[in-house]
Amino acid sequence: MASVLVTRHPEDTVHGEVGDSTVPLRFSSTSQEYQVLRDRAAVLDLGGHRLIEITGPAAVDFAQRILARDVEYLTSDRCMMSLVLDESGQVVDQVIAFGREDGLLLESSCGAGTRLLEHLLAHAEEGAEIVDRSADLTVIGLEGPYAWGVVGRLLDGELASLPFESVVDTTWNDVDLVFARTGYTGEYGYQMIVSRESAPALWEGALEHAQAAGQEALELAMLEVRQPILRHEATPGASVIEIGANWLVDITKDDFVGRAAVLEAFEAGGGRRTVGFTGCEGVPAPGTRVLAGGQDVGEVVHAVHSTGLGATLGLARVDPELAAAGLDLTVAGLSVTTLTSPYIVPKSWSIPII
Amino acid sequence: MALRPVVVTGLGIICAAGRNPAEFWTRLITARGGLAPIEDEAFAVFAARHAGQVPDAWIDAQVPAGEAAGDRTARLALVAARQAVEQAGAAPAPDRFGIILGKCQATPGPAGAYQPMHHTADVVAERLGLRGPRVLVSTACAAGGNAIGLARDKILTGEADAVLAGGVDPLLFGTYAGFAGLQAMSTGPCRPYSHSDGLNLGEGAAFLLLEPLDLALARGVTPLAEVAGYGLSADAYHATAPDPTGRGGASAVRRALAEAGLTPGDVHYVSGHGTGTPANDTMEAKVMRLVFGERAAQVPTSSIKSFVGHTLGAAGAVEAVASVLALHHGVAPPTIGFDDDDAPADLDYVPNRAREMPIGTVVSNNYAFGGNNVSLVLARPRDPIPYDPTPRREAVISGLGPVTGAGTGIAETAAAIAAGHHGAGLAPSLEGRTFAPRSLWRHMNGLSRLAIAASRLAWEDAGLKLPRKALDDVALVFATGAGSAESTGGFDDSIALNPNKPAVLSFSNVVLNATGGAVCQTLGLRGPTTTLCNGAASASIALDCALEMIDAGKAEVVLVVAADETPGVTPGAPAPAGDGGPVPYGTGTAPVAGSGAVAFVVESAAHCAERGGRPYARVAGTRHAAGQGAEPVARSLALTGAEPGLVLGAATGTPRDAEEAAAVLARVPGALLTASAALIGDCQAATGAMNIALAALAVRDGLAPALAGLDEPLAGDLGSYVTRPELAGPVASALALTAAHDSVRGAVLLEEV
Repeated sequence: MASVLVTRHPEDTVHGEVGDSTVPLRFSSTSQEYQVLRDRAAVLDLGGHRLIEITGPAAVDFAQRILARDVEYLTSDRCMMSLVLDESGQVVDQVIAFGREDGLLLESSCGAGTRLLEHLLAHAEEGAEIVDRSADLTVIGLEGPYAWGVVGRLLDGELASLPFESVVDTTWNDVDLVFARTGYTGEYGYQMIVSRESAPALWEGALEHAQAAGQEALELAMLEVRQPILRHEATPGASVIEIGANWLVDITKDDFVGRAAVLEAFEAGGGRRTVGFTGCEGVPAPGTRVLAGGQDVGEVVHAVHSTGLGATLGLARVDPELAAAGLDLTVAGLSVTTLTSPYIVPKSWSIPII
Repeated sequence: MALRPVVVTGLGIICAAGRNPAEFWTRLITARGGLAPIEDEAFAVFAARHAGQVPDAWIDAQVPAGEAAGDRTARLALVAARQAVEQAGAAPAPDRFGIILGKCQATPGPAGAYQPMHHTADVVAERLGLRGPRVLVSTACAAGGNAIGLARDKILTGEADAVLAGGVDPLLFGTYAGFAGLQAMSTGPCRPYSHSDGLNLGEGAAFLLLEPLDLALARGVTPLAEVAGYGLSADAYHATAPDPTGRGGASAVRRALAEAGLTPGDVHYVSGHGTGTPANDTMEAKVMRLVFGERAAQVPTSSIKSFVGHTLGAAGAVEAVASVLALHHGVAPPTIGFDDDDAPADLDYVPNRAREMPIGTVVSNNYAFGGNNVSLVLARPRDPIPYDPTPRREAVISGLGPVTGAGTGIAETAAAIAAGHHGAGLAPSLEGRTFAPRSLWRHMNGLSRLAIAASRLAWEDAGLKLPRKALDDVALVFATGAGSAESTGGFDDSIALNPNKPAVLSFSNVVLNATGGAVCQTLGLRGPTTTLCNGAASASIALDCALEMIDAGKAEVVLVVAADETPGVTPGAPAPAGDGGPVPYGTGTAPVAGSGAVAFVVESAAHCAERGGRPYARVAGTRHAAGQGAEPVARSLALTGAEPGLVLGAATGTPRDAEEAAAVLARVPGALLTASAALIGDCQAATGAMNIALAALAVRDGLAPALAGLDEPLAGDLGSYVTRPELAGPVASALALTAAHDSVRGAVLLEEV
């Protein structure tokens, strides 16, 4: 799947494959785009996120069975993030579920739409119609401590201060938008679902007020606040508890696909836990062993150079008793320190919307 | 279509900035506030000490010699009420003279125990001889403004020729501790709209006397202002924080202007809520920008609370008095203590000095815990105009949601009635299904959970499927005698233990409208909303309010929810020993206190028909009668319409059931009499609502609860009572009664559709 905006990206944009999608990794420099996202406001081409509509009389019941969180009363002015699990409790995808008048709209994570769609179709039920809307809809995001100002200038100041996870059907230059207050990076975040036809104009319009940031800057900022990036973190066999994504699962719900497996993993205890670390030189590869007092206690899941920390930032999956902040471990022979999240404090936390 | 203009002809006020309207106004225009450190040493435990207190001498000097001294709340209210009546010089017949009082706090009587919420209104009404409409509105900090709007409605319906409308609240230690615990207090005098570092609490009472313009002119009185319209809205956002977008507040202003037939361009001055908390002041600026757009900076807005502090339930009335005086004198009162050197304001807050200016229209806004918003539009009085009678629209009851010891939902309840089971004293069950998103549910107290479950069930029973946009206009009227006993008790216990460690979550649920706010938040209802607290008569008064909303075209669908709880009778609690239920109208019986919530959907008949709904019954008439003793019973029964075949009475199993039975048997000798209390016990407002719900059920489905164990009725013979659940068939009409003894009684006549 390719973004409809690809022809609008600057010539020297670096594109890359993420799952089933080709997405802009960076438009110029990742660190500069990161700074824009953390200090001002960034426009995001979220064309790698697939939009799947569920409608029909059984839509809510179906979604309730597929999603790991409770969407029974998800009204058309709310959205929420949830995991989608398979029967064995393995993560299929992490989605944003938008309540709609006639059902729900699911937004996949970047590049995971095909897998999500296949999973939905495999579990299809009578009365719930599943339609991939990616041929006619796409998503543009705004993220940053002043993203609310961009919303005010681009659309309407009233929308900027919408409560978190609120959704409004609105228009921009007579173009219909589903507008939502969301957020991946701890900064003020918004998403606009728009027809592919009108997306280029909206993209250009947003760029009059903010600068574009690519997938690399976005994922870095997500990691810094421990927002799951499942394509890195959902390693084969890992339970949601090991991944640390159990906040996207609600086991008080009566039933959903994967519930039994999550419960079993929870009751069995054991397994590993994920913790952030910093300190070593360079960026260790996934799978690099992690040692404590010379003993192998786990492995690196994912690591990057964090612009915010000015140092290496990684996630390690280690024995549960070591998944705590402030411990000294060894990664590839170098000393690292475990961290408590968020690893950097988003500027938005101290900036009010006015 | 022109409605009958309703005007203000009398004002009364007692607050920290004056003991009467003249003194209050002088101090407003000379910028002399009344905020001062509290001298009472009990308050020394708090870092914040400033408040707007009323000196005792101001009250004592205005209470007539020889009058039995009531509690401080009643004395404050009486002082202001008498001033307003005296200035207006109105003396309509007692039955045509009403009182609508806004009050936020439950206040203690002489022995220290809480009085019924409506007690203060009863005291004022009895002393002044008012037997017309009597309503206690408790939308927290918006109650005073709300009362004035409801008073206008009562004049438009023709139920009253004059209504005293206002608010009262004293300064209470517990409330002070609660606001301190929320970190909402300023340590000095509050400075709304500039420093905005917190509020000061205040106390006082204010009343406006409302009457129809034509009657005022006929008496030769010059009106002070017209109450041109009002607007209510629900944020459906949060228990204490205002919706940060300001859309809830803006919607109240827009509704008020629409009712007044005016536009934002007609507004000259806005009396803001102006508490001085950062959340409020930021949100209000948004409301100003949303409503007035480019013109926002040209519309002066100021905070009367900068003079008197936040007088809670009185605030809206205090500010309405200031607004009427501003109109009358052509002067905008200032916001005092204003200092925006650090960050100059982009709106005109009338800093520190009163401003002479032409004022033809004032908007007065109030925002409350529970996300309740109210806006009043006050305008210069017009010349008399020809007016049309207030339109009446047929309304039906289209959905029932009882959640009581006898069952959860109407199907379970009907089954219990048919089987002759009773659930008095049993805790309602909320097991087996969810009624709200888990993220909200886990924060809800017991009463809110009951009310949410009842609302959801009534909604589903009505078969309502409305798009999100339509929910913005669905109204909610919450009826409760005492609100959450759990939260009130929990909060009071925490204060007794340590006033600096109040249970803040409980505090946010102490306000009576918290439960209504929770229902709005859960169901996403943003239409007009209010909370009425007239004890066990609350539900029929709430139905009246719902009908007024439908008549005025403010809503097509109104959810009426009544809920009350008895400590100990909560979901999960064990059943009481023994199975003898209460026997209403029986001798030697006693009431059984319970917990429950009963919701019903009131809908315009046209709306229900259009969507293919199946109504239970149409509302053929309602009537309320205020006063003490047995006398109001007969008066409340003087409803026109067909003789009902069934009466669901307000009896609960006390000796006073006799007065009701005697009056009913005299008035409708052919009817069968029963009472919901036999089925669910005495759940105060919820039992009143159950009478209305079961009257609707009897009209459509021919089922009514039997009075098990009745063998010696207090009046008449057994043949006049329902002793088996199956009626001979559906009754063509049924009468539901409600009663707050020695205060107000209600009657609701339902007929088959």
